[in-house]
Amino acid sequence: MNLQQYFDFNRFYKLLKFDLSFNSKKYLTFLGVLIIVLFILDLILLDSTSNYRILENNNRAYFYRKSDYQVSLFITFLIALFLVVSSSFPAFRKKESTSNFLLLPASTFEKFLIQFFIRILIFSPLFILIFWVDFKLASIIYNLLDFKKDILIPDFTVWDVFSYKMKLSDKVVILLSILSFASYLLVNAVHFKKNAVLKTIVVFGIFAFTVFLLNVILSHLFLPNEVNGFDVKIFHRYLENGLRSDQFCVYVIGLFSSLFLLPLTYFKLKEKQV
Amino acid sequence: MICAKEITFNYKNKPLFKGLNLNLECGNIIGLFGKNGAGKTSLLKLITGLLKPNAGDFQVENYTPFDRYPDFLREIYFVSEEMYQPNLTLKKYINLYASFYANFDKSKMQNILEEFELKDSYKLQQISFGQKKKFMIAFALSTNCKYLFLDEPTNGLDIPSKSVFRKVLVNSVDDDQLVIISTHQVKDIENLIDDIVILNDGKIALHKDINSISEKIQFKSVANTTNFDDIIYQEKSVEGYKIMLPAKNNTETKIDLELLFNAVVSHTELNF
Repeated sequence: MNLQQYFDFNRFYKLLKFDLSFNSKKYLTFLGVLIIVLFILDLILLDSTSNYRILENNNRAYFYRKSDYQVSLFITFLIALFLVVSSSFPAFRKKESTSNFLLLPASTFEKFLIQFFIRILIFSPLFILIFWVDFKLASIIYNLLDFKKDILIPDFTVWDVFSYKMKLSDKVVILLSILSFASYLLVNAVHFKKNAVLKTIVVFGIFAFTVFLLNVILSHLFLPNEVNGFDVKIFHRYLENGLRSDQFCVYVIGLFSSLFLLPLTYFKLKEKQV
Repeated sequence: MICAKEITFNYKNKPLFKGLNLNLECGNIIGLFGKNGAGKTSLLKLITGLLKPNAGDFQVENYTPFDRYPDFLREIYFVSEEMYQPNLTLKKYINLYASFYANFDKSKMQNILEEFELKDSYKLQQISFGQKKKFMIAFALSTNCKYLFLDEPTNGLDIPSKSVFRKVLVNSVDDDQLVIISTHQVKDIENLIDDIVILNDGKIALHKDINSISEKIQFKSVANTTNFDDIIYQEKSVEGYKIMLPAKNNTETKIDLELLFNAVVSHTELNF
């Protein structure tokens, strides 16, 4: 088997250069909008914490909590990741550009890897950096404007997002679940031609509703006396390390979905026809 | 070399090709003809790996097209009828895409652009359909790919551009290249092609080189057909009749591609 037909570093570099150059305007515009939106969002978040309001009435200094920063970063990251990854393979939105993309002299694996590389591996740390810079800027502006005198904003570092009080195993689960989430978005981006972002939401909605409905049916079948209407009752046991069985099940899905979804994305790309 | 064996292909559940066989050698310019919906574009897409046959074996230079290996993709260029038009200047397009083709000739590109009266500062989205087509033809020829596939290349081209197209094609193509031109405009390419491939009823109804056709068949325009008892095929025309006759006394005539095409698709028996 000639591995060069699947991956060649020079070809990958050429494709990366091509993608960045070809989409430079699009990427820069998106980053510009992202910087502005996150900056405004950070200002709003700094100003609108409910705890602050209570403390303000008591005329005491308020510490902007690191956990607030971490949670807001996590939520906005998921939203941005959704937008970025579900709009992967932009060439597939039009028939003409699909042919052009598929016939570009690079391997299917390289074409897949480019999207994974740019939209997941590069974008994720870039987002954390942008969020941090925006937060710094927002806090400087916030304090300069001096319209909320008593706020004390701790000096976060860019790495503080990873210092959330949580077990390491839970952090790994979250990280790999994000990867699974991104992989799911990537499959949809390859599969759908038009309105991929919207269709991704619809498919997820249908999937989530089906799972919910299945659980309702199973709950009524196995525990008819314990549920009413659309109630869901899930049996669980405690495992040796204190983990609950239902929690463990969710962990396994989060951890390993990407192992199925990433090869599926590659396969869908390989089998793409025009 | 392109080799198709017993290709079956359904398009949107409608059978298009059933048991299609085709062998094409390099060093030729091939005219691919067929009625609307006969599958000319689909055949080109199958050869370039944009479509996957339902059954049968396709080989292009020992590659299965649908594998879309980079070494294979580097050797083919497909100018589709549905042209891609990113928001780029011609110069940027050339700089971006040319790097993928090892044999891309930038000076050839400049020359062809000049022949077509195109400036590389033009923006692809701001030029006419015909200009886009000319640019894509220029790019395809400059890649020096071994296999070039041109789908309706003269559609949208003005009259002077059509003759420039013929000129640049003849000057650009080497002996080791294979060019397949799919078109309805037979007049535009009748002096260019070496081989004729006619698709009909999901099969290759005719695949012959121009020489063997003109050795075997004569094409004439006559006022009436009463003096001819061996007419293979005839059609009414402004002057009277266009007829096809078995060639006699080694007298070769210019091939009337339209007449030949109509004869083939009307299932006329041609004894080559």
